[in-house]
Amino acid sequence: MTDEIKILVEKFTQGDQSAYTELVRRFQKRVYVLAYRMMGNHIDADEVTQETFVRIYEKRHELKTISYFQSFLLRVASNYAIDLLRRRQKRFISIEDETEMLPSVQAELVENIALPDKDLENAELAEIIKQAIDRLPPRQKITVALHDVEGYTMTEVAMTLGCPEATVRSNLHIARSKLKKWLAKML
Amino acid sequence: MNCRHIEIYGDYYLSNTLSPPLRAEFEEHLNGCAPCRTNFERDKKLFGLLVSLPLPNPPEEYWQNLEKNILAKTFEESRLEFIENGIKKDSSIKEYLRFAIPLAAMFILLFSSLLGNFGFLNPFNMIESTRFYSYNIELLGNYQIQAREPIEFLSQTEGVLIMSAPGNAGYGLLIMAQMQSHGRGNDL
Repeated sequence: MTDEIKILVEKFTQGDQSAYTELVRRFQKRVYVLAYRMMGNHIDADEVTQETFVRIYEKRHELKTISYFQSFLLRVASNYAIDLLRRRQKRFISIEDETEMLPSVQAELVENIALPDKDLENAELAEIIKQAIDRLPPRQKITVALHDVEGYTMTEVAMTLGCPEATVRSNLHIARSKLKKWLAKML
Repeated sequence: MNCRHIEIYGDYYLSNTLSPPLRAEFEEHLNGCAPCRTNFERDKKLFGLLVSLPLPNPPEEYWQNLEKNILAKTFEESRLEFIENGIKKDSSIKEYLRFAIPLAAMFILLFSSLLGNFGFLNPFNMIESTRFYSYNIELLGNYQIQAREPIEFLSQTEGVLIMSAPGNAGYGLLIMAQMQSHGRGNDL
């Protein structure tokens, strides 16, 4: 975390609205990406992102250590996403959900989506992997999303989820075993 | 290094965070253990697939709107919270007054009656000793006025009667009144 961010976070904890605005600007993409990995669609990712920032503003006094801001932010996001997923109780997220998005945003999102690497032959393959991840229970899903997809370290994931590293390792192991089983034909 | 270690260190190996000696041990074990090698290869492929998942990339306009929406929602909710807290505070004052007013009234009554017993003040005795003056006035009907002091009639024009009661703060004005009889009343 840079000194600039630390100053912003410190001001934010004291209720400075312009510091909060700047933090929203700087961290909204990170939260959105994690939310998208968790929820699997734009509408829900948007909701999780908005709610996350509203909640951290309300809970700003709970942030005791400035340098833990990112973990604090991602923890709020993941907890909200997990709650939302649990409330929906394994609801299958279909492609129809994406049609609720504004047509212009939908079109640009599809157009701008990063092309799969050489390992992913086409978007269909990515969709299969995405659906396999969606089948995981929320805790395992967030662990895979943070560690394997977004590249956070075990320590960072443990701090974000507020659990021991051993739990992260265990969740990751179980989640990977399932994914390997479901995606056996591709591996 | 054994098969269990390969499971544990697999992540660190893939993310290049394993120290050179451990990395060498890891590779040595993989070369000599077919099940571990197969499992690790599958992990590696899975890791590659997950990392390669496409990232959502909405247009720049979306981020600007998102920021606006977040700020609007945050400050609207904190404003509502502020109002809600204000209402709660008002409610607590009302709760307090609900008990305070009857208590104060009880205290005043008790204090007054105590003073009365000592001869300083007794509103009931005062009423008993007051003389009342009585007047009949026709005002769309026949009415009787009672006053503690004699009423002085200042002027009487057609339909308007102005009168003054000494000791009162001002003049009483009766509109459309026609005095039928007046004069000093009798003590009641």
